[in-house]
Amino acid sequence: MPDGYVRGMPRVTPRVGGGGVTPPDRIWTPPGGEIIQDEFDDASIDPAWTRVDKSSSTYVTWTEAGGVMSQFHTSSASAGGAMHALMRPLPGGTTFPVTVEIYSHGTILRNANYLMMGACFSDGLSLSGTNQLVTMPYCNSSSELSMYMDLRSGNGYGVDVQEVAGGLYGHMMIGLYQQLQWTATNTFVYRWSSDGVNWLSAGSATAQACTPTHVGIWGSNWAGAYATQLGFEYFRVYASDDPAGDVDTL
Amino acid sequence: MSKVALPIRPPTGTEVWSDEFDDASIDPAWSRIDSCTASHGDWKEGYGWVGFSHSSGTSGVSNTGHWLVTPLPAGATHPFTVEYYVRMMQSNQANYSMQLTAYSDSNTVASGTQHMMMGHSSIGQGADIVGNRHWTGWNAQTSYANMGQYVYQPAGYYLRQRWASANSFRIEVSTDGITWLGSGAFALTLTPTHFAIGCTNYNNAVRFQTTYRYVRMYDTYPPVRSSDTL
Repeated sequence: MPDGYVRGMPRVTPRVGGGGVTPPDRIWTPPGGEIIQDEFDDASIDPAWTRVDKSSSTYVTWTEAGGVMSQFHTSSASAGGAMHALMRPLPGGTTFPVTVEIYSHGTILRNANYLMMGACFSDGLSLSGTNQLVTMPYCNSSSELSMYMDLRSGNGYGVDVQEVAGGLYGHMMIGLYQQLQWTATNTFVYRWSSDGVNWLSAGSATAQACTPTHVGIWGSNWAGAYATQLGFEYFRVYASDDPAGDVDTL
Repeated sequence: MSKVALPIRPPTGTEVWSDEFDDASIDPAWSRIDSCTASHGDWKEGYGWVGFSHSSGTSGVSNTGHWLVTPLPAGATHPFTVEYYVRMMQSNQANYSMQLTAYSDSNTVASGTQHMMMGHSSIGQGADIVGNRHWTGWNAQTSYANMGQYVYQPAGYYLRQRWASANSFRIEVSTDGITWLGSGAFALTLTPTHFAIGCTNYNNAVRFQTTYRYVRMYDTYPPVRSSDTL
């Protein structure tokens, strides 16, 4: 659309509710080419998802409504590194490059460690003998819910190995675009963005051996006895390591 | 879909020029200039935003940056206002990642005078809207007047940069685009011909993103949406 329009010739599209322009944010505008897509705009959770809980499943409730997949975690403490995940299979024969993209946000009932949420690759659904790579932005009590951005790995849905400390600070309650990429054999990349256009990367991790067969979302309170609430606005998977049309290696 | 829209304020319809950044690429009306290392990052437009992902590279000099510059509409004169919305995230909780915008009589590095608006990170990611700066050549600061308004960078905020009258400029900031807090008048001998959006890490090894939602220009004071404080 050309810019620099002349007064009296508005070129914006009216928005339903609230007035103004149609918001073209990536939240509402999938770029196309998704091999798996759930916009979480159904009245119930798609049966393709399977729950996996490293700590007691009674601690967590997943609810899909209002265009969001929401996780509520009670004030019971899940074990450190214990994932509460929703996983689904990749299409048969899928290999790298693959990108999982989500938009997530959350809050916690007090200013304490550790609220976290992210995307996940796994080579199975079992709580033993499987391998995971996850994005793990998490809050710290001294940072006013700012996020540390880690790419973590683990086994059996316990992800307590830090692969890369991304070192970017955003804010849990405002929301964040995240991408977890499988770029080569046992090589994974974590990227994040505040606008879905410009991305910063934590670099790649290669220490964890994993040939993903499943992808998903997860959250945890990592041994903190605090209630948390997370939201995921969408879940999209691409057979590409460049679904945004650009690759940043900053 | 049933998702709730971001509450970004719509255009008023009285803009003399605007870019809502709703194209697939940056409009050719913008030209890029850099007064420090261009390889620090790139500008990209999409999904209603134009932004810059900045590496941890430093320029070795503080008062430098990266900009997209566009001419003011022909015949533009005071009173003139540019309004925009901006959001930032940075790689640590230290000074200084900055969003910069400028009126200028030049679109060439090492020449001209700039009325620079500067908002920079501080501990805890509060953004110190330090406000009015007098720059020359896009790479040197001559004088300044701190504004002392704080907003939260990851949440985003609205800015108005006003060419209020001959050689007089002002800055206003808002979290909702309805009511505004403003600086005093800043005297600067400048007849702008261009406006720029930009960013810098001010010679600190801070990775960050600066992203702008829109730029709208008015050949007067923008319509008051409810109450303005100036």
